[in-house]
Amino acid sequence: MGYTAVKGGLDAILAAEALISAGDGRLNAAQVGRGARLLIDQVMGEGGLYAPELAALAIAQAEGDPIEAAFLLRAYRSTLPRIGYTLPSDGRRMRVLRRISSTFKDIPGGQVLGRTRDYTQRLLDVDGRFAAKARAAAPPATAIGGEGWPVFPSVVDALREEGLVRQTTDDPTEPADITRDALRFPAPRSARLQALARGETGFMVAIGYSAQRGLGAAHPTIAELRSGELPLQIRHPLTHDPVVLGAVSLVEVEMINHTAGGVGGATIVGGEGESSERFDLGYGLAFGRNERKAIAMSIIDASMNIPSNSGPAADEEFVLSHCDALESSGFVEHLKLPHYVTFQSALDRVRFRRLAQLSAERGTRNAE
Amino acid sequence: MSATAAPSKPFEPVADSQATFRVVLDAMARPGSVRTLPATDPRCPLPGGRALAAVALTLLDHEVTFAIVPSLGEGAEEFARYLAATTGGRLVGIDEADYVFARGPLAHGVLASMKRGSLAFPDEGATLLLLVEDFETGDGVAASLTGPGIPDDRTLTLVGLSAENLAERRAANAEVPRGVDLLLVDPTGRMVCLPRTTQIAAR
Amino acid sequence: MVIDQQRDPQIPRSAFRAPRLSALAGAPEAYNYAFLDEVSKREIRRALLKAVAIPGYQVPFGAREMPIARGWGSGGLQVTLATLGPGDTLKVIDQGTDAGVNAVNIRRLVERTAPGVATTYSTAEATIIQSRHRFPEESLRADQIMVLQVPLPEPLRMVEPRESVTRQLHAEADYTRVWVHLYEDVITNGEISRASGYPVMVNGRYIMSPSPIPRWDIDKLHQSASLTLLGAGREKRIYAVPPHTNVVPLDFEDYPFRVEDFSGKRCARCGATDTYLDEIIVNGGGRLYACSDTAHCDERVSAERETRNAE
Repeated sequence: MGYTAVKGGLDAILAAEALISAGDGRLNAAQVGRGARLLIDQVMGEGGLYAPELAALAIAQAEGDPIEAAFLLRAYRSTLPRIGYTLPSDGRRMRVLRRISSTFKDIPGGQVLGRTRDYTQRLLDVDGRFAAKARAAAPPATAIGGEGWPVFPSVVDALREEGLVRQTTDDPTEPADITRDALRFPAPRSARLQALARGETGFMVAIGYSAQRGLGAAHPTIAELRSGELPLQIRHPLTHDPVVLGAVSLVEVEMINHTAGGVGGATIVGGEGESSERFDLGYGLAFGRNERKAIAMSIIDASMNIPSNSGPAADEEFVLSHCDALESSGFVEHLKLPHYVTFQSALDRVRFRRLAQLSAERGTRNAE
Repeated sequence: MSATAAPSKPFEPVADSQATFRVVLDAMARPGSVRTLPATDPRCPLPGGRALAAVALTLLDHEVTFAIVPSLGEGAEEFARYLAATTGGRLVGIDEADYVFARGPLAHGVLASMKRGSLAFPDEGATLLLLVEDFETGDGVAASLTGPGIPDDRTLTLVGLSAENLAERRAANAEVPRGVDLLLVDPTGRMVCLPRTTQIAAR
Repeated sequence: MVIDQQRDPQIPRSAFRAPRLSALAGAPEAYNYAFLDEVSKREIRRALLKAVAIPGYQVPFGAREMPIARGWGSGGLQVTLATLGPGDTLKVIDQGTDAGVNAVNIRRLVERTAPGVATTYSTAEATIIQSRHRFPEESLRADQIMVLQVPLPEPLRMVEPRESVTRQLHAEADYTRVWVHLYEDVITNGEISRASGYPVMVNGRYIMSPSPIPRWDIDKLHQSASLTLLGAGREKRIYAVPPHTNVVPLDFEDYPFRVEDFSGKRCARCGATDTYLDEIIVNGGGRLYACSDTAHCDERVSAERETRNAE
């Protein structure tokens, strides 16, 4: 018999690596940085690391596969020392480049459409003619002058003042860190928001969409979507004064959710001496301009905030256990590994049962 | 190798932690068997506590809490300061601590006040690190041990635990799987582990 | 349109200049010994000690990102890397063989990051054996540690999808639903149909998933001389079976546990009739069988050759 144990594992791996590095004509990190900003945003979010240049490098190395790039970023991140923690930041301090509300026609500070594709016509620009036309037709930009940056009041604050939003209790404890402690259920809201902020864009959108289609009680409206740059501060190690480190590009969504009593299985219970009629709030945050994910996140958070809600988006354990791109893709793709030992075990079971069935049938026939 | 053989060698965080962990792991997997710790920390201000300190440096950091039982005696306060400074662990009361340092035999009530974890998370039960007299020369209780990690049964002269301590330990571990796990370390670096699953019968 | 807004004088304009992160990060420093940083190792070590103290109980831990994908052995790898040190000899197997691509990859990572650790194909030489889906055929000794990679650590998932509920069932040792499930399985299928990863009772207290090892290997966990550590990276759980601990497959008196049946078959290479066999489809549709534990098979072949040469 000619069978010998396969010993070629290492050679095969080295050959596979060589085939990858032999690829030519690929993008470099600078090209990715210039031309694939939205992909960089997605990779930074799913990788859990704000580092546009490193993300660009990861995307180039991964030949444009966002999950593989997020993986490279995360594996790199886990080798970096954790030097300190930023102070809590308030989205109201964001240097706003774009800001819209769907709840009111006009809002204090005004609607700022900014740079968006939302109203472009989805026509494939085969020869670049449309882009040239758009550039030519652009009105002059409004410059923001003066010292410091304008601060926009939050739309939700106005509703809060009127008592229309269900109060979320301020949690003074340190936020959870799911990269250090395994999730437990029910999860504290800080752990939930962290997990969702790292969630895979496609998964988040699908789950948020399911809530919109009526699986659960959510009926979301965007109170405010703002994107821009948020300064981050740390405490100076010697003086203990807050020091601005720099700013990160973010999109933040506050989602107002109206749940009619009893709709979608939700029962709304008011506190003593107050009306039960309240809006629930959902929060979404994503790096860069990943608006789609931030909106989906705020729908999911709102769904989970509605008391006694049902449906996939409100199922905290289900969503948080399945939203991580690296976990889901890792396990799905591990099916490429050999499984012949377990399959042999399954073959044994199936053959045993078939034999038992066949002999039972034969026994019945003989008896007849 | 006895731990006193190289008293001045400083504790090396990467290599000594790994070597110490392996010995503790082996001792925890084989309750009642006497093992010798491979490292010490000469900076430890607790008399006789240099090997115990090696275990502390291996397991403690800023993510866990510890407590010092006053019976630890001379040098206890310095030891607490030393542990906080070298590991970053947070000093708390006995009833809150993940790791409790004491000298055996224990005063009444210490074992009873330690964390036992919950039925759902029994791993949150505390670990007691007990400095005991020399395993070879100290007075002890002749005991017979059974449970996971022990083939048939294992006999041992248990130094550092009084008959009352053993009764209190039994009570602390009565609601399985909640309980406390014990590491006994002597000044020469010999060590015995008694996880909560080990049944101890005095002979 | 927004010019009349109030201003925030505290934040300087310089805050919005794009930071050069590559300049801040600099060149990546050399990796720590055994890849993991010391804080991570300490956490894994603490979890391992509690796992050993509570046999069969799943200790939650904050699994780190490893340079191999989650679901490809990152849990076992973290356990191995937190455990090994200079002087250790590591054997890595996948499906019983040292040459499997995943085994090669993991071995290569350890060789790269943990100087002083030797690697081997020989079971007898190894002090630590990391494995996916198999135990070696030969019994392990007291001075050896077995590390198993675990994809799905929760044995109660078959009856309950929720972690919050399964944790409570384990807390109360309420395993009624498992027994009902197994009973219904027997009624429907004529036997308990679970093939690999067969549920076991550890120390009479916890139902445990032994990882997807075949039933053939279950007995190797029972009253073993060696310690077995199990790591699930994606699911963030660590658990253990100490040596000399009862590990009993769940079954019924009238439907006893049975291992895979290789009666009448033998290894085409070494002739063994007492090993777990891989079935291989050959040209023409015929079947061939060979030892899954290739190191064990190799040793038998070379021992036989030596005997023949001596004659």
